[in-house]
Parts: sequence; structure tokens; C-alpha cells
Amino acid sequence: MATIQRKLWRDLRRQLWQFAAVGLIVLLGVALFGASYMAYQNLNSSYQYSYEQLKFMDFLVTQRQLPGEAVQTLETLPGVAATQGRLQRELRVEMPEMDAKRAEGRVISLPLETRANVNDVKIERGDYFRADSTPQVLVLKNFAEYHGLEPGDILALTIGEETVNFRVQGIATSPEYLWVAKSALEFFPSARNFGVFFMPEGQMAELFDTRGSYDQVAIRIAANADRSEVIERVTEVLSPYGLPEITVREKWPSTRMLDMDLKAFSQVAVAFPLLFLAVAAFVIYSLLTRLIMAQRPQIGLMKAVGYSQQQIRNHYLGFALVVGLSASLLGSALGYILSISATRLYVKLLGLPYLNTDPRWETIFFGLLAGLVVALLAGYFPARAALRLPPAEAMREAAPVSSGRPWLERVFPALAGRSFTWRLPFRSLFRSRWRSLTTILGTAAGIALILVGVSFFDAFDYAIEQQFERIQNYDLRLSFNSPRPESILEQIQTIDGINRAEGMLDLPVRLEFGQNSTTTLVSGLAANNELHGLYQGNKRVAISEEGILLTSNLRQVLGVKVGDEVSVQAPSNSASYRVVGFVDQPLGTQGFLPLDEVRRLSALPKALSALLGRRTAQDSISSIMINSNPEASAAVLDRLYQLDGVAAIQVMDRFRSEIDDLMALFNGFIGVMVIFGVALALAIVFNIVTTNILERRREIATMRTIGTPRSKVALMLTLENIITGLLGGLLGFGLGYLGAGFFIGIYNSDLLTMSTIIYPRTFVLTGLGLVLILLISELPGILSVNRMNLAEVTKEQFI
Amino acid sequence: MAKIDAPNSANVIEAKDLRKIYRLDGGLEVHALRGLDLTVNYGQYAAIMGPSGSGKSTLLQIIGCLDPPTSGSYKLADQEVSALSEDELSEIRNRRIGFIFQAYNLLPRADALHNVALPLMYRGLSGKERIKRAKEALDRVGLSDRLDHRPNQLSGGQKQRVAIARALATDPDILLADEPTGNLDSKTGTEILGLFQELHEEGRTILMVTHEKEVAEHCKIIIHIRDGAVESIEEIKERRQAAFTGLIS
Ligand SMILES: Nc1ncnc2c1ncn2[C@@H]1O[C@H](COP(=O)(O)OP(=O)(O)OP(=O)(O)O)[C@@H](O)[C@H]1O
Ligand SMILES: [Mg+2]
Repeated sequence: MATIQRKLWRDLRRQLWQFAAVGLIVLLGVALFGASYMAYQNLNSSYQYSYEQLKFMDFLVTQRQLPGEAVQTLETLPGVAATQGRLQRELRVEMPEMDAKRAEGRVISLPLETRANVNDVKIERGDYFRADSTPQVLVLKNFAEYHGLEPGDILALTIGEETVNFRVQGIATSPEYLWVAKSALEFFPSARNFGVFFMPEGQMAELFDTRGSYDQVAIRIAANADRSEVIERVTEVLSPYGLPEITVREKWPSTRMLDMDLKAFSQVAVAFPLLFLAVAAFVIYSLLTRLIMAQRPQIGLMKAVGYSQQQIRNHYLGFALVVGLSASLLGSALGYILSISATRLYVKLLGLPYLNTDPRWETIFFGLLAGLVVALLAGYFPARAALRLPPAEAMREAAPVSSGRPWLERVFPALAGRSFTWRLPFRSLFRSRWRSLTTILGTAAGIALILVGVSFFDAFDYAIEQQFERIQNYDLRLSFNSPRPESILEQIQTIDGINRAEGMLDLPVRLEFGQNSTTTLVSGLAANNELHGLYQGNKRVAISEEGILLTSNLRQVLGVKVGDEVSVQAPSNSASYRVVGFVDQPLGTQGFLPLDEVRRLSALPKALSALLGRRTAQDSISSIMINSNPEASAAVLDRLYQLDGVAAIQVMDRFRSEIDDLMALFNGFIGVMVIFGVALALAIVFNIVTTNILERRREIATMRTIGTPRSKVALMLTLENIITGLLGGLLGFGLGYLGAGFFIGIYNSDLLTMSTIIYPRTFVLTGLGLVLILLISELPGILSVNRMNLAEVTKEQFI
Repeated sequence: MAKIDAPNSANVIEAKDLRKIYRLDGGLEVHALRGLDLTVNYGQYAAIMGPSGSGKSTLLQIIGCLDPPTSGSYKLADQEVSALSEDELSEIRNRRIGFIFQAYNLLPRADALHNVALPLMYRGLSGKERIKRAKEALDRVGLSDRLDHRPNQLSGGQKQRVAIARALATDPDILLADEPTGNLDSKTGTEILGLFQELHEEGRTILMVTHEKEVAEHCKIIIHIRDGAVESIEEIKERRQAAFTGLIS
């Protein structure tokens, strides 16, 4: 009896490493869940922490000519915790010796001697303001980095007609500009063309001659105060000075952008790891089923020699517990470490002022629990199934009930005539259905995981390609301080190296349809416009006199369809247009109208325009798209900058590389998930293939004893692997495509609209990768059966 | 059924000074064979007997090319086996040897016919021919009515018959059986022995390991093994075999 027991336990232990390999899948599933969800939590709390440290506002009041006393009054209102009156103005940055020449700047005042009560900055390099009279500025980090500005440098800023040299006192980050958005309509300004600066309040008041009044008040409310009530009180106090414009924290462009990113990320961070855990659970279940089924004879014998059901079940649950617990623990630890590096990377790329990576115990606990439960369930069911068998039956070799000729042979009679080496794999495919099914489904899951991840890169790449190669089909975009007459186009076209120039008139508007509304930009394009491509799928769409074209993401936002009338409200006019079509555009939302329509919409009432002396001409344009000769670009830029009223020139190539960098940020997390997906896919395929081979040790040994050469055995196993692998791969391609559609769907927002695109090369590479993984995965198994001691294996019986 | 290579010598097995040492994990060495010499000629029907652990199975595995000896010379049909590569050994196993295991070792997922046809795969025979020969072999062991049964649908004796049919199908030089009746009741065992007797009378060489004196006495000679070497060779009187033959027919 004692010998039997020892032998039995030894037999069971022999498969221990296979259990351990199953554990690896649990480990990866738990680690990925922990890493991505905690990274999301870290990111979220790093934002919150930065907001707190830098006293980010709850809302911003914008009102010109606010007297200082009014701001002081606000501070005493119930519910107001802190206020900061400030100036905010636009100016021009002059960088004649640099390639960008000039840029648009926004300057915001900060107290000189103390730090701001609301919306403070963090000095990343250099110092805060010095109490001396030299003109000084703090430069926002992204602009400083783009243009290589360092503390101590001199920067020329033009205010009105006057250009003043400022000392760069420090490089700063600001909670208002964690994401540098220019306005609610311009979320992606190029650091080449737009920068944010901070100046001491006194210096700024002098430069802009504001005489003690403020432009804005940033307000923080008390912890228990109701924001809308506070806003009401503030509005009331300020009513004598006009109607204030209130921007609440979550409507602030930077916050909106980051929230949108976080929201998409949170969904991906939950859905993706859950998918991983689900796939891991399935694979573990099927592998354990097979491992335990392979031990049916031992189970039968143990029962026969008098072990109780309980004892045997506990034995397997013990295995599952050990595997599940150690894998979950290791997985959680790995997940924690990875979440920290992922957050660090993200925070560094995004330039967040503060990093927060506290351990998230609830997430760690959930990961542990999930891993453990998955392992235990996966061990429990197959053990129970095996235990139900009477000992005699359990001790017989397991054999499926199916018989007869495989249908594949009936469908392809040619197969039946082929050599045994070819037929056997097909047979065994159909004779071991459970094995084939797990292999196919496991491979499919692995492939789908990889595809879903990689599809993000393809979709990003495709979106950017669309935006910059087809839609923004120009190299330069010149914008004016204020609209200019169209005649300037002729002047521009005479410049050497310019092939084509087209005018455009942009107007911020509010679009309304039924209950829905949104703020966006409407662009007026000439009927013969070529440089701004409007596409629906592959079909080019022309600007139409009949109505308005909308970017396709507005379809959901507004709930409109072709033929509906939308109302367009511009600051001075409004009108209704029929939706004549939708165009694809990855970045942002936008409407398109004929140029003259936009001119009409932007026209000021005659009296007012006369008063302001502003042109409201029938032929104005606000920006110019230019297609130029790449060799002449430096000279062309020089000439263009000399034109009157040029605010900025966007060089599309440079802009694209900025957007690419930005996308790299979005892609960072996806990249981590792809790596995990690939690792998990590898582990799955490896496990399945190895199990496929090892569970047939005896069968293979028997084939060898009757003289099958090793090469033939390897060939048959390989064929079988490749067949199931390819079936799994095909299924995986389908599942991956569907999954990609789902994930890209949740990632899309009105800022970024991607289509589900998987490049053919991705399919090809994934397919080749799969074959490679299959071949590599079978190596250990094949080496092991090749080294197998035939004498021993053929002797192996259940005792 | 014609032999592929005609051997020149009358000996199918010539083993000299065979040694087999198993090295255990703890550094322990088990000397399973200690300089064993053995010659078996064509047409022989021999039993190998000896106490448990004396090296019977080890010897049979070396003879069947399932395991190489640690040292010594082993010639199978005049061919020195120790010099052969694994693929050449595969071919030897396929052409010259028919192994019958105590535990049958059938492919669980294939029916009787395909289990028997399996070793014919490497003979360049058409599918039809393979099936024909497999049927003949199964017919020979009296299982023509169980062609499409899988191993788990067969009794122990039937499984052993399928194993014998598989060994026969390739028309090997020598049949090796390690306790072929060990898992069977005495009646079924007797039937299997009867089958061996007939095969012997057809001129086949058979080498069989057994524990039981009565089983061994159905052979022509008994090779007694003790401590990894041949202790003695006993010849069995003709009449016992005759009596046995009479018994089963
Ligand atoms: N794979 C192995 N590793 C280590 N020792 C082994 C191995 N196989 C057999 N032995 C040892 O070699 C010796 C001979 O074993 P063998 O199986 O040949 O005996 P046997 O005569 O067939 O015995 P039995 O009648 O019990 O089947 C024994 O002492 C056995 O313990
Ligand atoms: Mg033995």
C-alpha cells in the first residue's frame, strides 16, 4: 500500500510543472489587470494631486475691467475659499533668430511677492519671480522645451506695437495647462505657434495699462460648499460690472481633454484586463481539465485503494490553491511594479507636475481574489467530473465516443488517399475534439488579444495619416491676427516656391439640433477648394451651396442625419442649414460651409462695424492654406512672415511630428497592454502545444516502438499544430477585428475619431508570428518525446 | 510473406557481455545486467524466467532496441545494433521486431484495424494493401469481428490479441513478449499461449518473459536469469508441448 501511494503521488507530481505553466497564465492575467488598472488610478490621482498642490480653481470668472475691490468682496462670500484676481492677455512672441520667427502668446499674471491663492505654478527649472524691476517671465514647460528656452535666456514679447525684452526667470507647469489647449476649439495648438507665459502682476498692469483692474478671477470653493450656489452669489456680486463668463473646472479645455482621455483609458483599463482574465480563466480551465483527465487512471486507482472523494478532491484543489495563490501573489507584485513604471512614463511624457503611486490595496485585493477564484474553479470542475466516474471506468483509458471517418476526409476524399503522415494529424484533430477545440479557441484568444492591441496602433496611424495626408492636404497654414481681404492670395501666389494658396474663414459657432448642442468651428471653403480634402470613406465630397457638411462624429453628438436642419449660432448672426453630408475627420469636430456663407454669418451689423472700424468685407479670409515647394520652404517662410498681420504659420510636417509625439503618449498604455497580450498569447499557445504533445507521451512512445522515425513523429505533431493553429488563427482574426471595433469604439471621443483599421501587414505579421510561436512552442515537447526513454514510457501504466 | 533481407547466420540474436547500469538520481547505480551472453536462433520459442528484479524486462528491452545496453555487443540478424542511429533503430524496430507488452500499449483513439495497420505505414504500401494485411493479421488472431472496436471496448484478452496482430502485421524476424499473459485470467492466458504455439509452428521466432513455470513450459527452451546474467538454459520435452496443442485444438 505504501509503495502504491508513493508511486501515485510521484505520478501526480510529475505534472507539477505543467500546473506551474498554467500558473504563469494566472500570473500574467493578474499582473496585467493590476498594472493597467493601478496605472489608471495612479494617473487619476496624479492629476488630482497636482490640482490640489497647485490649488487648481473650481471655476474661472472672466470679465473685463473688474475692479480690485470687487475681487476682494468675492473673497468674503460664503462658500468661497480663495480667490485670485488676474490679468490674461494675448501677445506676440518674437524669435527672429529662430526658425519659427514668431508665435502667439498668452500671458497670465501672478503675484510677485507671494504665491497665487488659486492656480499656482510649479517651477520646474529656474526660480519664481525676483523682486526687481527687470522685465521677467515664467515660460510654460512645453513651449520652453520646443524652443529650447532656459532660465536666464532673453525673450522678446510684443505688446501692441511695443517689443520688450524679458528675462526667462523660470520654466513652469500649471494646473490650467496640464494639457496645453488654446481654447475650447483648439485642443491641439502647436508649441511652435502657441505659448503660455506668466508675469508679475505689477509688471503686467504697467505693460497693458490696466489701472488696477482685473480680467479674470479664479475661485476655489470651500470643501462643503455647493458650487452652483457659490456661482450664483459671485454672479450677483459682479452684476454691476456686466454679465460675467463662468467656466467651471470640468469645462476648462485642459481638464476636459484629460478627463476625456482618462475616461477612455479607464474603460480600456478595465475592459482589457477583464478580457485577459476571462481568456486566462478559459485556458486554465481547459488545460486543467486535460491534465486531470490524463490522471483519470490514478484517480480511479486511488478510489480503488480506498481514498475518499474528499481526499482526492482536496488533493487537486490543493494544487489549484498553490498554483492560484503563488501566481496571484507574484502577479500582483509584478502588476504593482509595472503600474509604477507605466505611470512614471506617462507622467514624464505628459509633463505632469506631480506623481502619485500609492499602492491601491482594493485593486491588489481584487486581482488576488480573481486569480485565486479562477484557479480554484478551474481545478474544481474537472476534478469533480473525474471523481464522478466509477473506479473501473476511470482506470480505463479515456476515449471519445466519436467514431467513423472524419468528415474532413469525406469532404476532401483526396486527403484519405494521402500518406498516413498527412492523414493522421487530420484524424487526431477530429478524434480528440476537446484537445482540438481548446487548441483552436486558445490560439484564437491569443491572436485576438494581440490583434486588439495592435489594431490601436494601426487605427492611430491611419487616423493621423488621413488627417495629414488626405484632409489637411497642405504644407503651411498661415493665420492672421484678424480677417484680411482675399486679394492677399494673389500676392502670396507670386512668391517663388508656392504652388497653390487657398483662403479659409473660420468661425466659432454653436450648433444646435433639437435638445442637443455643441460648440465647434465652422470653416468656410471656396467651391474650388483643393487643399482641404473632404472625404466620406474613399469618396471625395464637395462643399455644397445646399447646406452644411459636418464631421461624422457630430452625427452622434447632435443626433442628426442627412436632410436635418441644424441651427448655427455665430456671435453676431445665426442661420439654419440643411445637413448635406458627413465627412470623416479624425481630429476634432467641425462644420463646413461655402466661404460666402461663413462671411455672411460673421458679418457684424453695419453700424457696429463702422464704429469698431473692423472690416466685415464680403471677401475676408482668416487663414490661408499653402502648398509649397519643399526645397524652397525656408525662403517661403521668410517671405510669409514679412506679410502684414501674420499671427502664426503652422508647418504641417512639424505639427504632425508633435501630434505623433502626443499619440505616442496615448499609445504608451496601449503598448503596455499589447506587450502583455503578446506575453499572454505566448504563454497560452506554449502551454497548449506543450500539453498537446506531453499528454500523448505514451501514444507517441508506442508509435516509436513500432518503428515510427522521430522525424515523422515531429512532422505529424507539427502538421497537427499548424492545422489547429491556423484554424485558431482565422477565428482569432475575426474575433480580433470585432474586439478592435469594440475597444476603438470606447476610446473614440469628439476630439479623436478613429475607424477600426487593421492593416493587412498586421494580419500577415500576426499570422507569421503565430506560426513561429507554434513552432517554437512545440520544440520543448518534441525534444522531450525525442529524448524519451522508450523502455520506461512503454512500461508506464497506471502503477 | 517474403523476408526483406535474407540472413546468412542461423542466429537471430547474438548478445555478448551485455551490461546495463541504471544510474539513479542519488548517484546510486543499479546493475541490471552484468555481462549477459545469449544466442537465439531462428524459429526458437523461448521463455525467459527469473526472480523479480533479475533483469528480464531490461534484457527484452535491449533485444527490442527500446533501450541501448551500457556496454557489450548485440547483433540482431547479424547487424551490430549499438552502432545504429536512432532513425536506423526505428527502422529495425519496424521491420524486424514485433513487441507485445503486458499493458498492450494500443492507441486508445484508434480502432483495432487501425492499431494493427499503424506499423505498416512505413512500408510504402497502398492504403488498401495496409488494410488488407491488417485484416489478415486480425483474422489470424481470431478477431475479424472486432475490427472497428476501440481498445476501451475490448476485453484484456482481445486487447492482447490486437497487440499480437499488430506485432505480426509487419512480419517481423522476432516476436518479443513481456509477460503477455500477466494481466489475463488463466483461460484467456491459455488461449494466447495457444496462439503463440501456432505462430511458433508457422516458423516464427518468439521470446517471452514470464513468471509462471506452467506458461514457460509451453516453450521449447527456458532461459533462467539470475542477477543480470544467464544462469542456465533448460530444454522442454516435446511431449508437454504436444499435450498442450491437443488441449487447445
Ligand atoms: N528505469 C530504471 N531505473 C532504475 N532502475 C531500474 C530501471 N528499470 C529497472 N531497474 C532496475 O533494474 C533491475 C532489473 O529490472 P527489470 O525490470 O529488468 O527486472 P525484471 O526481471 O523484469 O523483474 P520483474 O519480474 O519484477 O518484472 C531491477 O533492480 C530494477 O529495479
Ligand atoms: Mg519485468
